[in-house]
Amino acid sequence: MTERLLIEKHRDYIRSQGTKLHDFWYATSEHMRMSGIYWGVTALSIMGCRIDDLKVIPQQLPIQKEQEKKNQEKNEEKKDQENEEQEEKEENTKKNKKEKEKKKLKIASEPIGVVDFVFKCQHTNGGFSGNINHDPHLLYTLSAVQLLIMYDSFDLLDKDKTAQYIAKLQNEDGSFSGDKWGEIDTRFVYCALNCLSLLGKLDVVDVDKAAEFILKCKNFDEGFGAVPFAESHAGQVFTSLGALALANKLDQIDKDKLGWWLAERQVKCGGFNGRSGKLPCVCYSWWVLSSLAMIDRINWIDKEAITNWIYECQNEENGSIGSRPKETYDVYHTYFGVAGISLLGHEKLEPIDPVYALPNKDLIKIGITPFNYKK
Amino acid sequence: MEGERIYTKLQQIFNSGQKIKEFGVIFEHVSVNSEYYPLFFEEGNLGVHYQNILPLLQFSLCLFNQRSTLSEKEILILTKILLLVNPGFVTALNKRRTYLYNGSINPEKELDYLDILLARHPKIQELWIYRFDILEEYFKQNKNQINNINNKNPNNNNNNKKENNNVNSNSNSSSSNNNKEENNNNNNKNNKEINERLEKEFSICSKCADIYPRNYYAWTYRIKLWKHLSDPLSLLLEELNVTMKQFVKKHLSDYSALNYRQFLLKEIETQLKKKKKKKKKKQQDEILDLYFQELLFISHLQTNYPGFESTWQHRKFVLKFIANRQKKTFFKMDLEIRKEWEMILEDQVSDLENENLLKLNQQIRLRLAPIYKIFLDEFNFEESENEQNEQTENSEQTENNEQTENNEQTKNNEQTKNNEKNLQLLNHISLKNCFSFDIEMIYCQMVLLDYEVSNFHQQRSCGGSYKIWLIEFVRNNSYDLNLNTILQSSIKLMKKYDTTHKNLWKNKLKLIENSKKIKKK
Repeated sequence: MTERLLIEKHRDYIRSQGTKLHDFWYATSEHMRMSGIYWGVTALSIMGCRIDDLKVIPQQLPIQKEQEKKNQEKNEEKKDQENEEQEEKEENTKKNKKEKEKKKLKIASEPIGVVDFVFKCQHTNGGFSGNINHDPHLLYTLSAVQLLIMYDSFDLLDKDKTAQYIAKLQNEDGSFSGDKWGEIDTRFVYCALNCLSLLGKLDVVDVDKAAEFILKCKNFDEGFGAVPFAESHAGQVFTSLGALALANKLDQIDKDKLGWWLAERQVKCGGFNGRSGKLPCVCYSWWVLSSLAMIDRINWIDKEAITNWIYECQNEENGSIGSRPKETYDVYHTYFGVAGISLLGHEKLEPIDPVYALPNKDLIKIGITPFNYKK
Repeated sequence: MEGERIYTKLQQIFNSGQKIKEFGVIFEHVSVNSEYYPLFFEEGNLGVHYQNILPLLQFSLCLFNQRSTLSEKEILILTKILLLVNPGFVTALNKRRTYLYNGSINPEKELDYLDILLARHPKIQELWIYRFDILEEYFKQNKNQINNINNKNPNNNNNNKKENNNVNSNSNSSSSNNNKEENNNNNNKNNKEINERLEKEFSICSKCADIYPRNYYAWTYRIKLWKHLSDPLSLLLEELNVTMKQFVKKHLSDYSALNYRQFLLKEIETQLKKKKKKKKKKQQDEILDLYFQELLFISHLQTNYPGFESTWQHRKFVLKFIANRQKKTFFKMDLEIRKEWEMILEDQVSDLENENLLKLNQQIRLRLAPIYKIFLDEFNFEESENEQNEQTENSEQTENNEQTENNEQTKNNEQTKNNEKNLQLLNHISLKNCFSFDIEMIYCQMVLLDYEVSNFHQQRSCGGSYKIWLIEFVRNNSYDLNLNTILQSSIKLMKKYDTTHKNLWKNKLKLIENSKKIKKK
């Protein structure tokens, strides 16, 4: 029987994404490059492909006029030598900010390794930004930590520092803000607890209070919204359940009730939607299936139907998976499609953990037991 | 460099201070001779050719990544342009936030700028979050202005803050004191401005919801707006009874609007509790009344369009509340009515040809009409409508087999006599006094009857699912063991027809079997 999951094609597609400066999606997703890389790397890892040799050009090239460029290149070689000597002297004294910036830019214009990129996005407060010189945020801090784990570079991280950054983002009511500007969302509680759990530092925040806030976002249908009173949404269900799982509070959920709401996300064509009455999208393959896995009711849906539908969403020519058949192909949907199939169990795919959204093998590496559920 | 050229031209337009109403992408090239070439700019409508979007974006990103060399003024323009083509870029938004809070950006103008961004990108969460920050800053600055003016007067009105938020405040001072009058004038002016601003915000949400159904962030934003109204009860009721009813009628599949109605009901309850702290029972009656009105409103929609999942989901919310508040009446069994719907369920479960089902439906209709009428009565539906239907059904029946026809006719005559009796009785009872689980089941059966044969999947997957939810809910709350059997039959029926969710129903049957086993032990 021919394999319907086009692993090699998806692999080639993802590997080619890292340097596509002139691609519109690549440009508009520059601010979330960290997450984009996480999606690509995790998908490759689940498909059993190598990730150690991946290189990316994270940002647009700095502005340089064509004529000057060539001259500069010659001068720069000389300057490099001089600069290195100077820097050794200046190491213990105040560093010239502009010089540092220029050097950063210079490096940003060449392909760099993933770990290199991750650390370039680290801020002094311990948080990580979506790209170099962007503002730090919980979302990217989580992606950064996940990437470091997958690249076996976890020990290079100052775990206390990052834990402190996250701790400062917790509010009085237990919720977490995404950054210093204060936006609240159940997604951020998930990011915070996931990250801290990976770091082994859950004790720096009030986990019970965080769970309390999550439960405030629960609606009568047992689903969860982004904030209290907001509509139940499969993405928010995933983050809320994930947070509760990490807080050891899954017993607060009526699993039969929620299982019913989640099962009804499956529509006639086999795909899942995120809310009643909406069109299906491949990303919900992950959010609905991982939620069902966390409440151990993954067999409440039609596995064959969803798998077939995900296969239909593949781009058979160039690799990648789209949001729907023949629509919006990108790394984001490729990751969610592959991850969804992995959750159901596929002989050619590595298992992925529904709570941490990391391959099981990587969790085991750092001493965390993957979530146990019936497939 | 194309990108740089576009950027410079945009910079020119923004710096000129001309009002921009809308920004968009154009697909035809602008004439070389036009003033703003290669941009299109006429009467406030700004357009960039689609082939220039990527170069513009790339140039702006490059410039932004080198922003340490730029001045505040330059960054203001840069972020303004960058966000036009990349509105989800949070770091750029954060820069503007900084300038908003340090006074370099005027909140009202920034709200206008957000109008342009949201018109093109209504689904970007960060824009709505930022908009709320701007709004709060606008209110804050407004209040400070008024407080500064009022503080100059020796007779300081201590209720300033509250009144500034009060949309319904009347000018309350009858005092002849000039200073108080001045204060009030200023407060009223401020109130008027805030009123106008909030009205505008609500209408932006409405517009967004109209054009882009189920816009999660627009609806969440709408909910957050109520935070700025300190005495909102009458407005909440207007939203519930007028604005949101009109909207829902036009957008039946929009569950986000119905979720918003759930918020309104909960919020009204909170506000009522705040107001009259003594008459608790009266409060509770008022709230219950609202929920009954909600039940009737949703029933009215469902009787015309029973195939919308959204209305059935919403019904669960309403029903749960009513059942929990009226436990004695709701869970009390009415044997006569229960017999009716149990019989129908049995007939449905046994395999019927489509033709027979149609016939059966007509019989059921006649039998149940008087009870069903209770729902219709509350809307002042004309009796003639029902009578007409009954007449056409009777005439259709005469076309069938004569033998069974005769029997049926006598049966029908008896039934119509009974119906008239019931009718008279029921005419004097309002839904609130007699509403029970059995009546709700009758309602479901009636509404779903006509659509049993046609459009099966739509009807079954939401109305049928609701019925099962209802039976389960009552079983869990009243320990009626009989309902287990009925629940099983209903689920078996669903499992047969709702193949999309066959595993769901299979597992639900398992749960019932398991719970039976536990009870036996």
